[in-house]
Amino acid sequence: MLSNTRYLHILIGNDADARMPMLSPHLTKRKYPGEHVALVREEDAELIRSQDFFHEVITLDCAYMQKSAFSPLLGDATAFNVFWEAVHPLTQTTWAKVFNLGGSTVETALASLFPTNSVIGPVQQNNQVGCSESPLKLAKLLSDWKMGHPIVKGMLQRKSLQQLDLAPLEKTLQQIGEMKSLKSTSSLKSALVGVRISDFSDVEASTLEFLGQLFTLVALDKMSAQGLLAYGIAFVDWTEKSSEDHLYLDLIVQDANQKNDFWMQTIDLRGKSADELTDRLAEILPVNFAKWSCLSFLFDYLGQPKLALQSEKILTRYDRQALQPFLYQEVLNLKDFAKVMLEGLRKQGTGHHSVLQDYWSTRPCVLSFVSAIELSLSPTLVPMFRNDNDVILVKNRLRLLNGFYERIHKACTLDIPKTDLALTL
Amino acid sequence: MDSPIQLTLTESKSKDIVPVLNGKPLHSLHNPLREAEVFASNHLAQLSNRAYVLVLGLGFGYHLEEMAKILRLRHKEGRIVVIEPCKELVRLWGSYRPNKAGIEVFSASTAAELYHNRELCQFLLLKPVVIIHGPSFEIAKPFYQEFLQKRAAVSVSQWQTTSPWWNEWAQEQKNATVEELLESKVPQAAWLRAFWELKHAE
Repeated sequence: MLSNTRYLHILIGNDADARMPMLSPHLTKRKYPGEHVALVREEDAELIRSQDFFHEVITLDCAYMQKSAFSPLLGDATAFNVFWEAVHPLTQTTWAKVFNLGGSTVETALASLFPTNSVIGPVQQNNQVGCSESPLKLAKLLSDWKMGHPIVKGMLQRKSLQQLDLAPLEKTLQQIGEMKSLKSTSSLKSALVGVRISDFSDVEASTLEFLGQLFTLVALDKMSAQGLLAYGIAFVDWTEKSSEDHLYLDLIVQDANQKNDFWMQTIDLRGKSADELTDRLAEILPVNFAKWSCLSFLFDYLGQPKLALQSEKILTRYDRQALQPFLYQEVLNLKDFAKVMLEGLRKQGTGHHSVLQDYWSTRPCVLSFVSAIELSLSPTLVPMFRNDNDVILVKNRLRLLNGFYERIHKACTLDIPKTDLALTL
Repeated sequence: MDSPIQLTLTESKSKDIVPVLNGKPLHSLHNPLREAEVFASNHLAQLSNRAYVLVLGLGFGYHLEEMAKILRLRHKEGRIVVIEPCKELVRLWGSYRPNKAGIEVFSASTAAELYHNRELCQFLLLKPVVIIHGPSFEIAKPFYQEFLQKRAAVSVSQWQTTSPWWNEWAQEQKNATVEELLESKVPQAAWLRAFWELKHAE
C-alpha cells in the first residue's frame, strides 16, 4: 500500500531553506511514492510547509533546546528531555527511507539514530562518518576538506536522486565562455569581475576604471549598475541573474570586508592603492584556475563531458603569464603530495589516514578535489583514506589529473616540465 | 502541597472574597483590594524594569490584577506568570474571578513537576523578575524553596526520559563526563552525540 510507505527527510541543518528548492517534488515523489515527512527546525517550518511537498512537517524546537541547555537553571537535562520527546517517537516509526541529503554534522548525528540501511546520506558508525551514496559521500568529503559550496552540494544532492538537469548550466557556461573571449586583445580581460558596491562615493572612479581596463566588469545589483553607468565604465549587466551564478565569476569587488573561500574571492576596494590592488589580484587569479579545474572534474564526474571540456577551454582563455605559475605550483603540489603519500604508504594501519587527511583539510586544492571524487567512488562505507585500495584509487585520479594538466599545457603552448608523477608512485 | 489542605472562603469587611488556607487568610480581611494596590506599588520599580513577572502565590489574584494594570501601562507585551501549589485554589479563583487579566497560572504538586512544564520553562528562560506573595509563600514554603533552589543537573545520571532503556543506563553514569560518554560505543552514546551536535549547532 502506497499510503503506508513513509519517508523522513532530516532538514535540521542551517541551510535547509536553501536546499529544499533543489529537490524536484515531482521526480522525488515518482521515485519514492508514498508520504514524505520533514523533520525541521521550528523556525523553518513555515517555509518548508509553503513548498507544499511534505505530507507532514515535524518540528524540533532547537532554539528552546539550546537556550535551556545553556541555562544554569534548566541545563542539559531539560534540553535532552525535550530532544528525546521529539526524536524518540520518530525512531520508533518505520520509515522506508530516511534522507540525510544535507549531510551536516548535526543532521548526520540525527540520521545515525535510525537503522543505517534505511539512511540515504552520511551516518555515524563507531565515531566515524560513513556514506554509501557516492555523490553524497563526495559532498561530505568536500565539506570536511573545506571545499564545500552550496551549488556544488546542490548538484551532488540532485545527482544522488537522479534529478540532475544541467541544461541551464550548459547555457550559462556557454555565455561565460563567450564573455571571456569577447575582449581578447588583452588576455587578462578574460577574467570576470563582479561589482557589488552600494556607496560609490567611497570608491574612486579611477580604481574602477583601472579594473575595467583589465577585466570585464559585471554589475551584480542595480545600485552597482547605476554607479558604473554614471562613471561611464563599460559593464555587463547581471542584475537579473541569480546569486548562484556568482560562482563563475573570478572576483567580486565590493565595499565591505567578506571572508574569502576556495570558491569565491572578494576584495574590498576602499582605501586600496593601485599597487595593493595589483598584488591582491595576483593572489586571486590562480585560485580561479583551481576553481575551473575542479569544475571541469566535477562535470566529468556528473556525467557531462561536454561541460567538462567547456570548463577546460575556459581555463585556457586566461592569461598565459598568470596560468604558467599556477600550473607550475600545481606540479609542486603533486610532488609534495607524492611525498606525503609515500610516507603514508610506509606507515602501517591508519597512518595513511591521518597524514593525508591533514594534507587535504589544510590545503584545499585541485588535488584534494579530485582525490575526493575518487575516494567517494569507493564502495566502502567509510570514505576515508584507510587502506591500500584507497591508495590505488587516489593514484588513478592522479593519472587523470596528470593528463588534465598536460592538455592544458598543450592548449596554452606553455613550456612546463612534465607532471607525470602518478606513474612513478 | 504535601500536607492535607483546608481551603475555605471568607468575606472581608469590604465584601470581597478571601481564601483561607489551613486557617490562614491569604489577603487582608479588611480591604484586600486596597492591600493589593499597596502591594503593587511597592513593586513599582521592578514592574517598570521588567516586562516579565513571576509571582509565587496566587491568593485570590487581587495583587496580580493590580500588577497587571501597572505592567500594561509600562510595557507593550508584559506577562505575569504565577506559581501556585494548591490546585483547588486555582480552580476556585478561576470560577469566582473569571476576568483573569491575562494572568497565567501553573500548578503542580511538586516543584520538580513544574520544571517538566515546557511553557513555564520557556517563560523562565526570559529571566522574569520574581515577586513573592508573602502569605502564600509562608504556607507552602518548602514547595517554593525547592522551586527557587533548582539548578541545572551536572551529571548525565540525572538526564531522565520516559524510556527505562535510557534511564537505567544514564543512572549508571554517575562518574563519567559527557565528553567521555560521547566517545563511548554503546547505543545510548549515539543519542548523546546527536543531542550534543544539536546543542552546539549554529
